[in-house]
Amino acid sequence: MGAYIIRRIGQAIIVLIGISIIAFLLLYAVPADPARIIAGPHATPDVVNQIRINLGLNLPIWEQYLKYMGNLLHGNLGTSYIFHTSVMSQISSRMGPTAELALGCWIMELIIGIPLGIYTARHANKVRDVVISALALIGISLPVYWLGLLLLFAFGFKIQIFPLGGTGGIYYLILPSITYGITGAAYYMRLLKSTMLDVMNQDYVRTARAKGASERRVIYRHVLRNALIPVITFAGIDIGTLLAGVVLIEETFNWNGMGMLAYQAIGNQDIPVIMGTVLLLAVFVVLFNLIVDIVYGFVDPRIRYD
Amino acid sequence: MSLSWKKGLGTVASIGMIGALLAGCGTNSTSPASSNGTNAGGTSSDSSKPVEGGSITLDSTQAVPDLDPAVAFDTTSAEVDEAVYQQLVTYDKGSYNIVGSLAKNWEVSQDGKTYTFHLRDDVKYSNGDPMVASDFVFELQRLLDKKMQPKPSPGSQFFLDIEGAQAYYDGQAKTISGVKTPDDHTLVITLVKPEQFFLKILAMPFLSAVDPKFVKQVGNAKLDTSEAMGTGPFEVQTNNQNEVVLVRNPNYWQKDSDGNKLPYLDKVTINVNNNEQVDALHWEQGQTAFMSPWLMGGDGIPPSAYPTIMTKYKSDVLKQPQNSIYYIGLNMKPTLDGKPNPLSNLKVRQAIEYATDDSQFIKINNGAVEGLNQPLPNTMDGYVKNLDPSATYKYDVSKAKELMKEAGYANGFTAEYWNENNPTDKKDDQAFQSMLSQIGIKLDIHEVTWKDFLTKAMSGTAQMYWSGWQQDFPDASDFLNTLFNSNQIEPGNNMNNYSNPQVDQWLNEAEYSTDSQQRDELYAKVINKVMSDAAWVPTIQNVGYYTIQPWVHGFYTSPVMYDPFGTIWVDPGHNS
Repeated sequence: MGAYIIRRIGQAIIVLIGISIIAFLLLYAVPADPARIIAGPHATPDVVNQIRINLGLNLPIWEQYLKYMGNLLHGNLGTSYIFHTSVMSQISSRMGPTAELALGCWIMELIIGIPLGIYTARHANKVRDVVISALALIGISLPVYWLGLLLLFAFGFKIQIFPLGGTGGIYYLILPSITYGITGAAYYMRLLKSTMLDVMNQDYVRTARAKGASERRVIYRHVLRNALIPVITFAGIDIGTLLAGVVLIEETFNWNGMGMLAYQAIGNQDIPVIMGTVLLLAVFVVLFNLIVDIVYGFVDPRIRYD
Repeated sequence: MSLSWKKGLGTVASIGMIGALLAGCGTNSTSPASSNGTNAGGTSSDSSKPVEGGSITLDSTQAVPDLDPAVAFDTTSAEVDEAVYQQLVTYDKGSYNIVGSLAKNWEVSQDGKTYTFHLRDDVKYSNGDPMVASDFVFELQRLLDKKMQPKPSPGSQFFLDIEGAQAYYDGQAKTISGVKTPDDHTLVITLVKPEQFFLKILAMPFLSAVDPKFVKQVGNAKLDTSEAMGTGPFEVQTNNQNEVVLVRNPNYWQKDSDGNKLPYLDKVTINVNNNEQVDALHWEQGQTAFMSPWLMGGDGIPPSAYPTIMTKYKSDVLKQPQNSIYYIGLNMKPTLDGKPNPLSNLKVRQAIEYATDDSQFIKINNGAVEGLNQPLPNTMDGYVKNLDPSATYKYDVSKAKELMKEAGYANGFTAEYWNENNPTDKKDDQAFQSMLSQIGIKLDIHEVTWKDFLTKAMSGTAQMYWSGWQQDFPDASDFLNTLFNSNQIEPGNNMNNYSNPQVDQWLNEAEYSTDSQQRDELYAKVINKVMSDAAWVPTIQNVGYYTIQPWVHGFYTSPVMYDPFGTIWVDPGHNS
């Protein structure tokens, strides 16, 4: 098991280095000049050149990359071109709100998705299953920003129950969580439904029924517990991607987290901040995948020898 | 700030469909109170005496990148800097007229080169330090220090005509010979050549009064991000990427016409909200005091909310034409990428002018812009009301086809066209593509990031491109000299390589003439010539729309200045 974990960690590090190289090349190697953007249209060539030197953009690309990685190993993600503050401090102040939002969205996905999954599995192929599955498909298809704005308009502007975006406590969390919950819950619902239907056909379930166990007991005691295993795995990976994927939710609801930071940085062409957020979000995704893989390795020993 | 404004207008339409949906959702009772408080003529009405105290909240789609006035060059930063810092001179309320600010008055020598400013002796910074003439010398030295960290001033070029400025800038002198301070309240600036618009340059935020002791104490980086301290009506309490909080400067010197101390407001909070549609709902709900083009970085009212606002709250809307224009650049280089460039042929360029229908661009922008027929907005001194017939192009496809035939391109050609990638520009590009297809020109559209667009266009290698220009100061020179003088070809702003020695001569003459009438005549010649040369296709000019709550007073719009925080007051009980 130790060798497996080390191998997986090694793979994760290689993936992260790969991401860092690709992101760096995409951001820095394109034939554009951030110094010109920062300097503005009236700046003299001297000023543009000085900004280039200040930012180290006059160095060869490989040297810039090595310098960046050297700083990164010391925990230094560089300084924002626009705001002149350290990228690390900007990111650290945004991680809390993003974690809060991701958790809220995740819980809402589970609250909506799991009961619906159980319900549709129990009533598979009936009209209510068809109706709920169709609604779930609509839920998946809805653009987050569109649904978010609609909810904001309805419950923030027309019926003023919730605030019109922003951060500041549980009231601010409800609308974005519901928005994401509606669009994301369908995945849980469909996964749980299909695994439950698989499990329902297993011999031990038939045996349980034959022994006279009530349907409720069969479902919750025998079927659900086993069917939940892949759902839990998916939920682990989901929270990693959620941390990376709440950009649109943050932008729609003015939630000042990492997604918003990345969004603003892209608008401002603030490359160190874009690079920092991309890397950190990649770390989240890789880390949660790694955790899931390792946990899986413990649960199912066959995985270790793949 | 030039060009950067263009980004705002483009991004605001990204949620246009949702806006249309919301606009169609009917009316409700949460709108601002009765709409009788404002006159759509530039000022909000002041039905009673100003009330001291209170606060307002505003939304901005952008954080403030630069608080240091020496390096701030974007409209959002300038909005805040104008509330915190002051300059020698400023614009009179809502007009182009220059009046004294920190300078009580001034004299200009007969040769137009020497300006003697007599400074106010009652001005203190918000920390209590007195403002003196040498503070401006200190700030000018910062402006002209090309090695300044964390970044040098992007506005240094505006001040290089001061005597000795170039030598100081090049590191060949330790002081600027053309700036003297005979005493603490007198500042003398001598120019190399007379400059009709020099006072307008001084009214820009760059040369603000800053306290040298304070700057040295906090350092440039902090001065730019969190430690602003000036002589303006407000001081910065908080500035981060989520919000900016301004509080009353207790030492502010200026008073209103009744002798009351300014500013009236205790506090201004600017929340950074990326979602413009929500910003519009905040205003409708009465949570924010006004929406302004400066804070929104675009049109003031998001295009998606424009139909609702103009229908329900029309009397709360103020309109102010902005000195900003859009155009399609036609690169005139004989060859590009080693291939002959058809655009170097005058008849081809004229054909493009005739084939362009501005009214389509106006429609794309929801009617919130105006048409443009020359490289100056119609609000600017120097605008030519009656262009020469040779400089006038009315939409005429058959004439355009005829010109293409005469030019030897009856079967058309393919041209590379560049623009920034944003939703509104995309629509403009498609419309233009369709217009040119009628005369056989196939546009190969490249929509790229703003950074890539600017790099491509400023290298002078973009064959055709959509771009814009916003005034730095209200003078025709800022448009014409910057965009058409051959000395602005690569790496400058003359991105279509327009080079005409006669036009250069007129531009250089006008640049240093002190005779307003002569300047207007020279600029009229330039405009007629560049338009008859079909150097580029003018398309539309911007109009700024402001929405003001009826409980907000003392607000006025200006073609030049930012929002007047110092004179705003609110009805009691309407704090936000």
